[in-house]
Amino acid sequence: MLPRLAFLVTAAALAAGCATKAPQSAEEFRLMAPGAFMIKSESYEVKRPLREVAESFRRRAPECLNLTVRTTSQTPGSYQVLNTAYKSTVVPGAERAELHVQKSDLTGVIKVAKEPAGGYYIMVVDATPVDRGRTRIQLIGPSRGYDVVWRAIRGWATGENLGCPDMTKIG
Amino acid sequence: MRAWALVLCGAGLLAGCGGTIRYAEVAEKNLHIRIETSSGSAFSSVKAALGVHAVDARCALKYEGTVELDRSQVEVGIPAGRLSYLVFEFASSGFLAARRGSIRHETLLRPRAGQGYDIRVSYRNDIYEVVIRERGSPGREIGRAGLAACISHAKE
Repeated sequence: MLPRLAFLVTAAALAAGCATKAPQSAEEFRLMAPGAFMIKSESYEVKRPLREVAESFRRRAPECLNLTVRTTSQTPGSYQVLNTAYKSTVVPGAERAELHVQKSDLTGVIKVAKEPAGGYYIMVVDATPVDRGRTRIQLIGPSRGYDVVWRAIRGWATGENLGCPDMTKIG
Repeated sequence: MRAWALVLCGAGLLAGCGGTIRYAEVAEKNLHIRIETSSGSAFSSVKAALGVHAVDARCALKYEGTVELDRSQVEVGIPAGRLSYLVFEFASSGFLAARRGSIRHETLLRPRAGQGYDIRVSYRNDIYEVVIRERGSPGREIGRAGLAACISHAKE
């Protein structure tokens, strides 16, 4: 399962013309995302002011998303160990709060494009105020395999679930 | 003699002692742990456990043992007045994909003498949370503190 997915992601990156250049910043990731293969965008509103959403991101992201995970996958004829480091960055602001997630495969994956410091950008979340009590959340990230992270970020944004995603369930 | 050593070693491994030892608790049960785990799928399972480490003055860890969090409520006694490093581990496995992984929530805790702590450990649909509160009204939440907090405190 994992080798197949790694192949798909690599193929997707190549198909998207990323063989020589991966986004080197969150802004480049935003610009690259529309129409990119296996990347989706989602937006929704939450009934919380931007300040509270930003505070949830600030509290939860470092605790939940700055870590290294190790997973093993065993199928007949193959045994794979993957060590993956994740890093989050929260950029608070009066008009917009941002959450960036980066990923760096430490073992088991060939890197086909230049990796920015901290890892490849895999998700960018922008929170902007709709009015004093509501905030619009715009997420850009992988369309497959990261469901648990999408759900966790929604929980932080709404304030209904402040739990951490089990990052071993990615892929 | 060597044969006996092999037999004892093998017996130890068979008893599940290969690297994990059962935590020898202190008498006063000061951690009251409520556990809710559900993998959310019939094709996978998740197990929770608590590893306890002693922390010395240089912030070095000494593993003391593990408590299986395999019931809805578990009471554990750890030494009061001493810094401990608690490692809550959620180990999941799938039946079909044979995929395994574990994720940890680690924190320092120095229990106060005579004080109890309520700990809520949850893992539902691949989202986990560990919340530690001092007992009392309303119950102060103890924030997560990594080893870096110990190291910076030790340097002061």
